[in-house]
Amino acid sequence: MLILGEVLTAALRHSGGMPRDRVEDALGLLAGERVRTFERPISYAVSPKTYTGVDCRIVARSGAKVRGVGTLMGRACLTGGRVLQSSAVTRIEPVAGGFRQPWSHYLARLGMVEALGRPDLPGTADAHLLADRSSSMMGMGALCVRLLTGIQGSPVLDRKPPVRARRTVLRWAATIKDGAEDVKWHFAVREDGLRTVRLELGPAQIDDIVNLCEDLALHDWLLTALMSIIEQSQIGVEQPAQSVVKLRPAVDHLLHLWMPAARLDGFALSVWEGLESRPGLSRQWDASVRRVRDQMAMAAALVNNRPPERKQLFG
Amino acid sequence: MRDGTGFSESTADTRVEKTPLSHLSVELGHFYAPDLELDEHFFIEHFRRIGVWFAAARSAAENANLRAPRISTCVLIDDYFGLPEPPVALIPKLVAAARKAGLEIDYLVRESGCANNVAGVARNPAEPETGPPGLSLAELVEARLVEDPPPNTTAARPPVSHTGWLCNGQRSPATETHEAMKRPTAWRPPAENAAVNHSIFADIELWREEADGRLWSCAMLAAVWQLLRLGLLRDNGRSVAVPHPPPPDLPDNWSALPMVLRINDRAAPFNAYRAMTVCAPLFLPIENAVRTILQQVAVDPAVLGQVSDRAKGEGISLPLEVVDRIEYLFVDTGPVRGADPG
Repeated sequence: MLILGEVLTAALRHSGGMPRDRVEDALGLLAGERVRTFERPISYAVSPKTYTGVDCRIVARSGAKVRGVGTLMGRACLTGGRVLQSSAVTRIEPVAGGFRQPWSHYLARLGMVEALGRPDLPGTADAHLLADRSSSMMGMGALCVRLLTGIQGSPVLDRKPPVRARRTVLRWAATIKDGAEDVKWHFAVREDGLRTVRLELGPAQIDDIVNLCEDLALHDWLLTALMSIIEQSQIGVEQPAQSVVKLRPAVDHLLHLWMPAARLDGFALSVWEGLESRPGLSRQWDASVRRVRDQMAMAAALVNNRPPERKQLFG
Repeated sequence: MRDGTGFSESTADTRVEKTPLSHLSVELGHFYAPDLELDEHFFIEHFRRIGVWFAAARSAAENANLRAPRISTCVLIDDYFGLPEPPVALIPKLVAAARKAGLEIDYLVRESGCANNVAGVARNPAEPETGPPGLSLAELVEARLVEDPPPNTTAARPPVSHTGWLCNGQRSPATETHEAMKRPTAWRPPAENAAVNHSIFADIELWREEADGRLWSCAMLAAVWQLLRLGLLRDNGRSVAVPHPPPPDLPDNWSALPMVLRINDRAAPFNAYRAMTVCAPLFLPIENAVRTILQQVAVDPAVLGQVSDRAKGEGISLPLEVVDRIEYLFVDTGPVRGADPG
């Protein structure tokens, strides 16, 4: 079984905190369905699932194409009231025969795209992960952008992002093999900024895989955002007091959000354990946080131990 | 972990309420204002003709290895497009006519309940009913429409702007052009997405905006009605339009009544695994429109799963697709005027 997904991560365009009812307004993508919210161990809200119909080509790396008909699941989540993510996910299911069924057939199998014919599933996973950032499989990227911009335009937001950080895209492909005992994964950061995750694992819930990939995308974005803020603060070039002003948004809005695998368990934990040994996301995060705090401490020390001013010397 | 050791947050809940379920819900009539004015004889004749088929539906259920099938009956009163005579006169007339024809009306339902928010009806606070802040059942269903995509549609296509129309394929492009210097495009036929050889293209009006707000179409309200009968609608996980007994003194005003009235105390549950509608062939176009809509409604998978689990527990096999749970008998029910034109 092959599951494909894409996650778009950005800072919520809102300057302050968000009370729960406002979060529910912003993430209420489907009338009559609840936005689920969690307060422990970190505040987290997730929209209801929405579905979009497709009838399009599914391309394999070799260039072979089959027709795919079905629905993509789309949802959005907000972590710590600051980081907004949208996801597009679908399962590719090969079916014999080349007929398209009445649409009710596909709505009884939500979140699945039936590949009419004989799709090359490993080749499809490759094509999904290797495609340009702008040309994603089945319009997944466009769906993520539409969900995210829809929420960012919500009237309950003041459109003032507290941190300036670029959106990141993480594209993932998970192959489920009945016999597989442990989980294999590969996380890559590409030159064009696209992140890719390839997973191979035993039977698992699709929701758990989506949660894992969103968690990876969240922490990768946090790290990217923090690194970018540190870079812009020009430590060692600017006066410490100047650098500290530029570092402040990170302290105010980002540093407390680092909590890998906060709501994950099972195979997802083992993927995180692997990621911590290499590339060691938390090590890099800790080092960066220390750097920010050292700058703060130094700036404070310089203010306190300021040499007496001239007026006092000659006064 | 909900019952044992562990940690849970109620705001993270995804549970959906259960509603009692019959095996079969049989619709004995969908009456529009012009017919509702007619006298008792019209209704006796209507129910007498329907009664034959109701008996057939009952024996079909018994043949399906159900020892004691739970079957409930219902009639739908149009108080949305027209204004029928007051409940105090109409309800006793319908109930008496059905009894004279050997039928029992278990539930009487107000069609406007599908279109309007049911707020305002006196509710039992212990019995959670729908209280969508400003949302009607029709709006809840509209939110769940997932349009049938024509070939070569990716998720990049934004949802079709809400025009109030829903189709099962690709429309014929407009052939007239008023732009100067632009040649009119050649006519092309419409196409059904899942056509078998040839297309049967359907384009359904869901609603239109009128001076005093949105007017839902009969087809859209009937689609809501079928989903309601099948027990597949929820509002934020809570059940909607829970049946209530009529008040001891029937009011003069339909809007003062709950949407679903339980007329018969001993009735089997209103919601059912399957729904059967017995009606005049005149209604076939409407029911085709209803099916076109229902084929594009993505019912909450949690609700679908709950209903199919319960069916499995009773040893009943239930079609996976919602439209396949609805059956029709198009029979001569006597002279019917149906909905007024327009």
